[in-house]
Amino acid sequence: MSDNSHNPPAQDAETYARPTDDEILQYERKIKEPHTLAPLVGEKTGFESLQAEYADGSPTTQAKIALLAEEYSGLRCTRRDGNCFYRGLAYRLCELVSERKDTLWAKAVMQRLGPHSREAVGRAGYDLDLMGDFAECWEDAVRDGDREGAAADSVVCWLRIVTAAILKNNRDMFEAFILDSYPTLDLFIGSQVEPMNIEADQPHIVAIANALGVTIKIGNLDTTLNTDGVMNWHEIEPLEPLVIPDSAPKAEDQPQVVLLYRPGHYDILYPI
Amino acid sequence: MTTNPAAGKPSNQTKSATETASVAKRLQNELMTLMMSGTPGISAFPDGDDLMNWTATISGPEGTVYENLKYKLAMKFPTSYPYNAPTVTFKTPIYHPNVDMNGNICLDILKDKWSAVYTVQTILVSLQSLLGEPNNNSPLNDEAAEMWGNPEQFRKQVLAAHPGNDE
Repeated sequence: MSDNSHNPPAQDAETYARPTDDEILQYERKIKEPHTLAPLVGEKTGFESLQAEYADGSPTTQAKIALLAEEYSGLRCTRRDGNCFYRGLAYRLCELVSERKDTLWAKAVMQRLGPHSREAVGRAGYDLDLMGDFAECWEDAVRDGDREGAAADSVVCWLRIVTAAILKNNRDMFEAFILDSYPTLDLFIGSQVEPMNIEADQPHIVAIANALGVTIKIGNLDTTLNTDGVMNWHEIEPLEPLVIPDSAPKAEDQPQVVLLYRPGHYDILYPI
Repeated sequence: MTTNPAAGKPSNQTKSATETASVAKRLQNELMTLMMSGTPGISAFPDGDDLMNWTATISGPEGTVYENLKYKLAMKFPTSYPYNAPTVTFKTPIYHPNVDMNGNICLDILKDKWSAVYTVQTILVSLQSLLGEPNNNSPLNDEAAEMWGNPEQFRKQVLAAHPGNDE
């Protein structure tokens, strides 16, 4: 049967008119090419390119970008491959921890993203022998301040598993969000959380914020929610905040991860 | 924290070498699990020294039209494994609603629902249950999908397609 890997003669037009999986994959690659050539996480830039992109856009969007440019020092674009939320979060968190190395905040975050996350993943029934390699890539990247490493697919994959674990471990709470559109939470996880290249939505963000103990603040550039040109922000705070000892110096901040949302995509925002 | 000057940032070249090494590590890990667990009716092993290409065997589940038949499959792993699914094809000809005449398979976990939580073992177990429970709503073999309701006639087609049970 090994000689059957090529297209056979068209004995049955109905059967063979269907494109092969290879053809579908090649087509998919071709249309995604401009995006797959972009860096996983780009250089930090100002807002000029965003302004240029929306030069013909709605006045609302332009007003929102003008406000952003006043309050934020810049943005860093992530590749538009459906993994942008996880990648942006991982990259930014790695930066924040390495800038604040040895603070009590950084230590508390390391505890959450290391042992705490592993425990949650194991409790949700995932095979830690199989998933442990991904966890290691993530923990090593953050500990070493290796931002490139933090943007790798292995880290995206691990954060997806952690997100899925939090959803499974808090079934009662999350089912309320999900059962409108999916018959079961597990079906939702199997098609919307675990597979790579599937965008994150509200439940995913709530879950991972809870896992990591970090507030995720999202600015929405969508024009449908607001017409007065004021940026609408969503702050997703963890239900169980980090436990930071009272002895922490008052000057120590607890930074947030700030992302910019446009329908279907997240980039990283930098406060001034 | 200490910095180790020897552990510099990997260049793109060494990075892809690291990726290949991590694919190999994962596949070796899976091979070990598969051999230790001894799941009945499924087996898989790399082709010679080539860890990226495996040959697998599944037995038709008892009480189904595939009972007492063995099927060989080829599993080809991409360098992006496990972020991308392996390509799995039937090498033994099979008459099944979700398999075409070239052995291509329509199964969601090998397509849009693939994720790194799946393994060679879970793929083969899923394929084994697909034999007894086809998805007749998205057939690759329309005739087989229509015939599914008639087990006697179906079994005849299954036996006619199968080259014999000696392998």
